[in-house]
Amino acid sequence: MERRDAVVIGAGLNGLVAAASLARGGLDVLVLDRAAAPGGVSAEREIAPGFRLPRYTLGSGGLPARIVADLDLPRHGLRFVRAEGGVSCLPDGSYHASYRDGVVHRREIARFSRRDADAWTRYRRDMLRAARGLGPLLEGPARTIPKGLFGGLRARLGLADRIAAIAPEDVADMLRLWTLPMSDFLDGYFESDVVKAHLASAALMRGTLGPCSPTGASRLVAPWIGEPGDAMGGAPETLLPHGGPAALVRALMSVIEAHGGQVRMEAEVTDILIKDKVVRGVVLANGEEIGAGSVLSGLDVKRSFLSLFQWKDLPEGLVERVGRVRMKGVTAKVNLALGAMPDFPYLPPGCPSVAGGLRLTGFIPAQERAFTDWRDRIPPRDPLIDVLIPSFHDATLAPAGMHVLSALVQFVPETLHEGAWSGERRDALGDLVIARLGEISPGIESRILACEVLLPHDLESELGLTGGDLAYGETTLDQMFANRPFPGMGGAETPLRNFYLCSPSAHPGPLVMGGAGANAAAQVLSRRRKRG
Amino acid sequence: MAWGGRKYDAIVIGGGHNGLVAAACLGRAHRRVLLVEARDRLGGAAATAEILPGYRVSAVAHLLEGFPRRLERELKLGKHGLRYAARNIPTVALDRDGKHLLLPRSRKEFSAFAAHLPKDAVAYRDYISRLQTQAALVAPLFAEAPPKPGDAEALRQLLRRLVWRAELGGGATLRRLMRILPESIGDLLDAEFESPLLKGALAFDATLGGSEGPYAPGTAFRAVCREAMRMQGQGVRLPQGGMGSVVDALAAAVSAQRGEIRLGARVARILVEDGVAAGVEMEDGFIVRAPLVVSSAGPRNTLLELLGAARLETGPAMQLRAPAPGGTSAKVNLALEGAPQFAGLAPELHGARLVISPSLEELGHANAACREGDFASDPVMEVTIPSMSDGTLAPAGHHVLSVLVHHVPYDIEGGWPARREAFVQRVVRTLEHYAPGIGDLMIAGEILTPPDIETKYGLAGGDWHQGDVRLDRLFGFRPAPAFGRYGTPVPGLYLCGAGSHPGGGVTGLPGFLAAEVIAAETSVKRTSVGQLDEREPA
Amino acid sequence: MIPDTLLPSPQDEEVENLHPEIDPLDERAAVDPALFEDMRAEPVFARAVLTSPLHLAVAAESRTNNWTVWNGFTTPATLTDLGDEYRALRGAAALMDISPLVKYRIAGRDARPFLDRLVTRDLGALEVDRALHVVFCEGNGFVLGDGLLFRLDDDEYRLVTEETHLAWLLDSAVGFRVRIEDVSATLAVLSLQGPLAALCLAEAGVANIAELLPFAARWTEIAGMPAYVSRTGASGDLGYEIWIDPDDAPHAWRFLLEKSGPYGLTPAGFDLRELARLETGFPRAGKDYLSAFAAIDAADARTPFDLWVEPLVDFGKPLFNGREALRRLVLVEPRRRVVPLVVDGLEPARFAAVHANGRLAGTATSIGFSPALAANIALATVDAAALAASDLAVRAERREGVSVREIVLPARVLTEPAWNNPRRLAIPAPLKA
Repeated sequence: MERRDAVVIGAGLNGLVAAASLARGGLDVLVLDRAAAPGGVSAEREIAPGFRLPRYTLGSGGLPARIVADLDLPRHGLRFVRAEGGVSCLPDGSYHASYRDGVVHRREIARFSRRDADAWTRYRRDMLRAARGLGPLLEGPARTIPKGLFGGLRARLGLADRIAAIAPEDVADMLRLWTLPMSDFLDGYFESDVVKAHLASAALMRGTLGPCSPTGASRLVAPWIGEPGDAMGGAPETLLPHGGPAALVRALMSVIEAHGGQVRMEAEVTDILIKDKVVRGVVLANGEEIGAGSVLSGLDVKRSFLSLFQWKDLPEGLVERVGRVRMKGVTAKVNLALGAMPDFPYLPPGCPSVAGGLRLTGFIPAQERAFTDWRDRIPPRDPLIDVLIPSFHDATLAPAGMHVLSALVQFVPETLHEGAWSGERRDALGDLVIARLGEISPGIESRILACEVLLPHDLESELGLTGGDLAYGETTLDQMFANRPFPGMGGAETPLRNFYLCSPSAHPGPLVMGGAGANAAAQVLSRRRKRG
Repeated sequence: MAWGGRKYDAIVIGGGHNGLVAAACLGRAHRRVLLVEARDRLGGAAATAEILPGYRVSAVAHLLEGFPRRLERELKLGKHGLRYAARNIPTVALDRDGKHLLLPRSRKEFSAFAAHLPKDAVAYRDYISRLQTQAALVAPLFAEAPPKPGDAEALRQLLRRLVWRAELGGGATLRRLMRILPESIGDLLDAEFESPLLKGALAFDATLGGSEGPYAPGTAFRAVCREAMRMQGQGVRLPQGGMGSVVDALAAAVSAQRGEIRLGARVARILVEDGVAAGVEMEDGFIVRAPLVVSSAGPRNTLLELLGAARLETGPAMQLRAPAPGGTSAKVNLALEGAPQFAGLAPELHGARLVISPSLEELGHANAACREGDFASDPVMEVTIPSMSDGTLAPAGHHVLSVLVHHVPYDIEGGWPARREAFVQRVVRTLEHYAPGIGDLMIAGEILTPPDIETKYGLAGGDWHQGDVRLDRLFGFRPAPAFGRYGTPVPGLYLCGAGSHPGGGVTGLPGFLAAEVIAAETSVKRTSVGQLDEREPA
Repeated sequence: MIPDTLLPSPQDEEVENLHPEIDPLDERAAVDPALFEDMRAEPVFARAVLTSPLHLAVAAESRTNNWTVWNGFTTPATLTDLGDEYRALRGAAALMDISPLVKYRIAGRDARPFLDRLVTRDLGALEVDRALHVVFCEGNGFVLGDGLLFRLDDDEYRLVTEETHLAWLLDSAVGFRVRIEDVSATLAVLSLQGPLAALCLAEAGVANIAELLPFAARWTEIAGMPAYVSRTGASGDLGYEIWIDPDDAPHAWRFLLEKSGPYGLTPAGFDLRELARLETGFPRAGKDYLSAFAAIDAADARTPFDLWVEPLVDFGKPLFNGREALRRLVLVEPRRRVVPLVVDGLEPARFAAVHANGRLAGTATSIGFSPALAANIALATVDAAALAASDLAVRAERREGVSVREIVLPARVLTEPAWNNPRRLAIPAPLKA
C-alpha cells in the first residue's frame, strides 16, 4: 500500500494552500481530486470556444500577504495587481465608486453628501481598528473560552479580568459592530442612501444576512482585514492574483511540486480508512488504498463527515452535530461571452474603479427585500449582481477584442418554496441579469455570444458543494470562530484523530482566502512536532 | 399653583410604574418627593381601562412577569392593596386543529406533553433546562445596577461572579452562551424540535416586543433574557383588578412615604444651573426646584427634548439620535356577554396565557408583513381572559378578553384610521377560528394600535420598552453607553424608566435600581467632588 | 521657455472669449484653463485635479514648475526659490495663496452657544471682527482639529481649519438653531506676511491698515473690490490675511504684486508657509497630529495638553465637548507631546526618527532648515518621558549623489520659537519712508 505523510482531499484553493504549506514543512504530500483540472471552485473553465473564466466564483478576492510570503508564491511565478474597490450602480442612475486615495474617495462621497465625506474618516478608523483586532483571531485555531476544571477556571477568570480592563468606549464600539444590523450601524456614520447602499452591498455578497439582520455589521469589516493603516486613506484595496485564480492555482501547484508533493487528478476519494477511531488513510473510487499519517479534507463539513465515513465509525453525536450545520446556497452565477467590449456610458470615462468590479444594487430597502425573497425561497425579483470582466486584466481569456463577463447573483435560493428550478425559471434569471446589465450597458444583449446560468444546485451537483453554498457553511456569527463549523471544533482538528478539515467549513471560513488551508497545515505540523 | 413655595428633595417625571417605584423608594430614603405626571391618570402602560361600565381590563400590558418579590416586600404593596387573582399562569400554544399544547410546568403536565409530542419531549426538557441554566446566569445581572462605566474593578468583580456562577451550571455553560448570543431562535428551534406549534410558541416568546422575526440573529439570547426577567418574580401572575391595581398600590406606597403626586402636570424643561440639575419648568411656566430630577420618561424625550441636546456633549447626544424603532404590538380588548369557548381547550385552561403562533413560518410572515407596513393575514397573538380568575372585572357570567397582537406596524400602509376596522375584523376572525361563536358574544371592544398606545398611554412611538431590546443596548449600555447606570452627564439628573437597565415589562426594576444608585451616588458624590477640587491644579 | 506650439495662437477667439482677462500672448498666462474644471461646479466625478480660484494667477508666477498637493488642491511648492521666498518673508513681504484652507460659516441665533459647546476656549472675549485660535475635541478629550475662529457679526462666525469637519459640526448642531455651511469654495484667501506687509497693503490703497490690531479684522477695498482683511497668519511676524471673493482674488493677487512689487513683495508657495509655521512651532492638523477620528491607533490621538503649551482649554465653561475627559487628563502628565526641536548641523538634513538615550522615543513630523537659526528644526511627537533625557538625537540621512549616509545629529527641545518677532504684536512702524 502506498503511504504518504499527508493526503489532501480536494485540489481546491484551500486544499492546495494546505498541501503547499505541508510540502514546505517537509512532508510527503499527495493531493487527490476527482476533477480533471485542479482549482475546485476557483477552477477556470471554457464557457464557449476561446472564452475562459472562473466558472463558479467571481474570480476576485485577495490572498493575505502572510500566506503569499509563507509559501514564497512570487518565486513560483505569481504576480499581483492591486484593485480598487469597485463601483455600485444604483437604480436611480447614480453610481458610487471606491478609490484607494482618501482625498479622491472623500470627494466621491461628497457628490452625495459633504457631511458623509467627513464621516468617512471616522468610519475608516473604526473599520481598521476592528480589522486589526480581528486579524490575530483569524490565524490558527479559533480562540474560545478556556476549557478544563482548575487551570481552565483560572484562565476563565483571567479572561474576565482582561475583558473588564477594556475601555468602556471600546466595548461599546465592539458591541455595536458585532450585534447591529448593517443598516443601523451605517446610519451611525452616514446620511446618504447611496453611500450606505454601496457599503452594504459589498458586505452582503455571499452572505446569508440581509442589511437589516442583527449582527450583519461585522461583515463590513472583512475587506479591511490586512489593510495597512498608513495606506492612502481611501477604500481598502485588494491584492488580486494577476491572471486570476488560475494563476494562483498554477503557483500553488508549482510550490507543491517543487517540494516533492504530488497532485493526482481524476482520483476520487470514496472512503476513509479508519481503525480504532484513528484515521489511517483513504480509499479511492478504483479501490486503491493509500495510507496517510494525516488526512486533510478540503470538502465541506457535511461531505467530509457524512459521505467519506461509515457513520458507525464516527463518535457519538457527531452525525447530529454535523447535520445541524447550516449550509444554504445563496448565489447563482451567470457567465457571458461577449463579442465586443461592453460600454458603460453612464460611468465616467476611464473610471479606475471599474477594474474592481461593478455591483448592481438597489438601496437598502431593496436589498432587504431581495434578502426576504431568498428567505421565503422565491426566485429573485431584484437581486444584487456583482459583475467582473476578467478579460480587462487578462486579454488571453477571450479571443482578441472579445470579453468574458462573470456575474455573481446574490440571494438566489437553492430550492424554491413552490415548484422547482425549472428551465424556464433558470432562463428567466439569466434574462433578468442581462436586462439589469443592459440598464448600465445599453446594447450588451446584442454582444452576447454565449450565456450560462449556474444555480446553487448546479454547484452542488457539479462540485459536490452541499447546498451550493460557496461559503462552505453559513457565515452567521453562530457558525463562526469557535463555533465553526460546529461548537467544539473551532479549528481544523476534528474529533477524529489524524483527520483535519482544511476547507472554509473550518475556521476562519471564507473570511480569509486560503486561511482554512493554512490553518489546517499549521495544525498538522504542530501536532507532528508535539509527537516528535 | 397650590404647590408653589414648597421645597422638594427630588422630582420624579412620569407616573408610570417605574416612576412610582422610584418615587416610593426615594421617599423611603427620607426624601421629599414630587412626582409629576403629564396625563390625568397614573400608570402609563400599566393601567386598567373600562371598556363598558362594569367591564374592566388591563389596557396595555396584561400580565405581570418578573415583578420582583423584593420590591413587593420593601414597598409593602400587599398592605397597599395588591392582590393576585392568579399565580404561575400556564402557557398554552393554541393549535389550529384543536390539538392545543400546554407547556408543562410540572412532572404531571410533562407526561401529558410527552404523550402529545413524543419526539420533542426529551428535547424540550433539555431545552428548558439549558434555558434555565443560562437564564440563571443572566438573571442576577437584571437584579442589580450595572457597574459604573469605566469602573474596571466593579466590572471585574461582576464578570468573575459570572464565571463562578457558570461553573455551577457546568463547564460548557459559558461556551454555550457564547454560541447562543448571535444565534436566531428559529435556527435553534429548527435544530431541536419537530413540532411547528411548539417552535412557533417558543419563538413567539423570544420575539415578543421586538421588531425582529424568528430568524433574526440574536433572538435566541432574547429568549434567555426573557426567561431571566421572569426569574425576577415568581412566574407569570395576574393582578386582581387588572394592571391598574399594581399602579394603585404603588401610588399608595408613594403617598405613604409622604410623596406628592401631581397629575396633569407636564414638564416643559429640565432646569440646569452651573451644569447641575436644578429642577423643572412646567408647561405653564411654573418652576419647581429640586437638586434631584429623576425621569421615567423615555431617554430620548428626557435628554434631547426636556433637557436639550445642547446641554449634552455631542457624543452622548449622538448616541440617542437614532429614533427608537416604533412599537410592534397592538392591543385588542373585548367585553363578552358570556364565556368564550376555545375548541378543544380544557375549561380550566381558559384562564391560561393562550399563544396563537402556529409555526415559525407564520411568525416570520407576520414579521415580514410588519416590516412592509402591514399586519399579517394571520396575526400572531397572546390572549388572556382575566375574568376567568378575577370576578371583579366583569359582571357574573360575562367576561373580558385581552389580546396582545404582535408584529403590528406603527406606520401602516394606508394609515391607521382607514385600516382599524379591517384590523379588528382580522383579529376577531382569527379568534373566531379558535373559539367559534366568540364574535356573537362581543358587546364592546377597544383597539389600541401602536399610535393609540403612544397617544393614550404616552409611550413614545408606541414602544413598550422605551427602546428596542437591541443587544448593544443592554446592561450598562442601556439606553446608550453614556447613560448606563441611570446617571446622565448632568449631575443630579437620573433616568429611571424602561429605557434603562434592565428594560421593559412591568417589573419596576429600572425605578427600583435607579433609586438604589441615586441613594449610593448622592451620598458619595459630595466627597468625590471634594477630592477632585483638592487635586485641581492651582 | 514654452515652445511656441503650446501657446494658443492670437487668432484663437475661443480662448479669448472664454477668459477675456487673460492675454493669450502673455507668457505668464500660458496655462490652459481647460485643464482645470471650475471648482464651484458640482463635480460629476471625483476629479483628480482641484485648483484654487487663483490658480492661473499663481501659476503665472511659477518659475520652477514645482507643485504639490494641499487638501487635494494643486498648490505651488515653490514659485521661485525657497531661499528667495524666505528672504522676502523675513526681510520684506511674501504673498501666498492659502485658498485650500477649509472655511465654515456658522450663523444663527445659537451660533455662540453652539461654538461655546464645540471649542475648548472661552469665547466670552471674542468681539465682532476679531479672531481667536480655537481647538475642538471629541468626548474623550482628543483633538479633532484646530483653527481660527472669526466673529463676523453678532450671530455669524467663520471657522477656518486645515481639514474638513462638516460631519462633526453638523452632528454637534443638533439642538441648536444654527446654520453651518462649507464656504471653502466661495471664499479665496491670500496671506501677506512679513515686516513690510502693512506697507504693501497701504500701497495697494488699504487705508489705516496700521490701526488694525493683532487678531483683528475689518472690511476694506483692494483695487475697488471688497475684501476682509485680518491681522493673522502663523508666520511669527507681522502679517495679514485677505478674505475675498474668488472671482476678485486673481485681480487682487496681481494688483498687490503690481503695486508692492517694488517694495520686495514676492509671491511664494506652500513650502514657505510650512517653513514659517515650523519656525513659529505651530503644529498642523493632519501632519503633526492626527484628528482623533483619523487616528487608527488610539495612541496617535492627541490631547490639547500634548499639543500646545499655552492654555487653550477653559474649564470655566460648564459644558464643552471633552470637558469631563480633559478635567481628568489635565491632572496627569501627557504621554506624548508635540514639541519643536532644533537639530545640530549646518546643512539641511532629512530625518524622522527621534532617539533619546539611544532608544527610539518619537518621530519628527515636520522638518525644515531654518535660516533664522541656521539649523535644522522640526516638530516632533516625542514620548513625554524622553523629553527630560539628556541625550536627544535624530537619525538623519545625508545624500551625496546617489549615496545616502546615515548620521546621528544631536537635538534639543526649543524653548523659544525659532522666529517670534515683536512686530507680530506691535503696531507697524510708520508706513511711508
